[in-house]
Amino acid sequence: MIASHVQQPIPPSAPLPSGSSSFQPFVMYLSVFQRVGSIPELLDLIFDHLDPPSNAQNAIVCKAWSEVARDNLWREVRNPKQLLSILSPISDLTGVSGVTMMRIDFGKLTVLARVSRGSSSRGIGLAL
Amino acid sequence: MIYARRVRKFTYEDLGRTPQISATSLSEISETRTSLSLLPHLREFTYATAFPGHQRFAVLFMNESVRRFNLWLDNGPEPLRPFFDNIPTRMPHLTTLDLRTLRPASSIEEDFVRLLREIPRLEKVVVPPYHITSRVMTTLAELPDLGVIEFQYLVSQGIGDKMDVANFDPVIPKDGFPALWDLSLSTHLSQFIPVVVHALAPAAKNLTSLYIHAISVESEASIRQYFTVLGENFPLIKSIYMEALPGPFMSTQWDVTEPEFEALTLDTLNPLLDCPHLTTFELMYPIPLRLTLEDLEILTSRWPTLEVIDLNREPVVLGSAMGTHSNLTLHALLPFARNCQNLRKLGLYLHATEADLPSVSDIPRPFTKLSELNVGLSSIGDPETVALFLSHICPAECDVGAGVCWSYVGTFVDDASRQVMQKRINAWEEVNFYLPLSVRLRHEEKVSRENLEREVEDLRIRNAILAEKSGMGLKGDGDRCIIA
Repeated sequence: MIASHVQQPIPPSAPLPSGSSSFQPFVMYLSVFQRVGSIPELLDLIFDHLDPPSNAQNAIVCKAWSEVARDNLWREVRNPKQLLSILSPISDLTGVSGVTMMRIDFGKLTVLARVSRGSSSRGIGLAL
Repeated sequence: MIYARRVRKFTYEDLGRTPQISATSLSEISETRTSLSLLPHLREFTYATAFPGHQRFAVLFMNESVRRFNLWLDNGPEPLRPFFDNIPTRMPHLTTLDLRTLRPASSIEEDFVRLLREIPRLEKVVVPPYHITSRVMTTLAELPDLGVIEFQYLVSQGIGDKMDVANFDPVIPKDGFPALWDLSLSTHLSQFIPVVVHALAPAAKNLTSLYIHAISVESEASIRQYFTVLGENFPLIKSIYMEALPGPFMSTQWDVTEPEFEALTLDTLNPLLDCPHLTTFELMYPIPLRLTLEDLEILTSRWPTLEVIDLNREPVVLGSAMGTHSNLTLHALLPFARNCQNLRKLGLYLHATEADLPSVSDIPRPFTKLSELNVGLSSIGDPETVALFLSHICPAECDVGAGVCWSYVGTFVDDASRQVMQKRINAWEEVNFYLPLSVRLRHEEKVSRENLEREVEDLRIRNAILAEKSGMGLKGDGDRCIIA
């Protein structure tokens, strides 16, 4: 997970602590990393090697990372339920015949409210 | 839309006993969506559902941006044509179609052929085994961009009915298959050879890869004739795969002494030796090949560009035949190391015994790119000794594999044969375990030896200089360094 290891960036023009010449390489390192981090294609290559939970954290680091991390997170969707879960939180509901159902509450999210406009207020039943 | 526009690859797989998402939910989505394209930038779409009535919901995710469509076709009673009509209409820029089904080709051929005609920009088509019928082949010949026709043995791909390809006689126009470079087929060789000569060779000028699965027992003469036709008509071919193992109808053990099988020799392969660009050659046959070390020397010297070769590493030797060993020993690796430095994968059926190991001085330069040595069902003596020998010739990252990949192995292998097979596989796994460490040790020893040799050479030069000075009557400067 990259996000937890990133420290406060130090601009190259920032004054160095006096008498600490060994600090220079560290600044250079951050500077290079900043430059890499500002190129979305390179960031994407790095994020490609991370697992989804790590990228979910990267998505909330900063605006520049957010787009790239979210692109990476959603590039491949392997499960239809994963796709539908972005419409609304899915809650469990025990249906008839002992079949566990899931229910989407259309009223909870604005995105979903927009989707459900004009339709009835019934939820969507998802049989597990 | 904040997330939907990011999705490039979407897999809708619902093959359990109960649907993950009910038809009501999908209907609800289709009725309430705010834009026609739910996933506007989708590039690859996989749809697999086993529930009657759910097939039609695939159209929900179809749009113009899709380039690859992987479809699992269920056995539902619904007519295919209306669903198939949606594919070219909603995904007009489709370049890859991957059809997966358990239905026989004959039951979907009419609709499938019609679908193929409606996707003019198709570049690749993938189907289950036995689905490339004469009619499908004829239709595919007319597609201008089609580069790859293949079938897959994966369980998830499904399977067709062998009878559907029993008669293979496609009509291929002279300008057919203008872009085809990779073709995989299941057919009788006797029927395919005339197709190659009269239709495929004049049309498919770009063909460089050919995988043929023979669906019946083929004789040595028939295979030799096929190779002759290939050598004459496709001299620039790069990859040849010949799977001459009949299908799952085998229910009894085979014996290498059965008269119906004649061993393949160098004469069988000889027509292909004039294909200098060959990089991949794989051959599967029921009984072991009859090749000598001299044959391998000739073979490898004629194919120096080889990258992948499999010379029938896993013949169907079962029962009493398991006591008959291959006439090739570990010596067989040497011609490949000597002549094929680009080799990445090597498959051989060997008898690896410590009693017949090449001496270290016979070993040429080791393989540099070999990543996989697969010995299939090869017999083996002491695994540690074999690993020590292989450490002379294999790179550290080389993986030694063994086993069979007959998909129908369980149907005809008796318990005794299975035990022998397992014993051999275990022994080769042991070799694979020892090999990396042995290679590393040899490498460290080599580095250490080279350092010592350098030091000795350095001392020798210093000594020679001192001796020279002494000979010239000069006083030796004992306190000065001599830098050689």
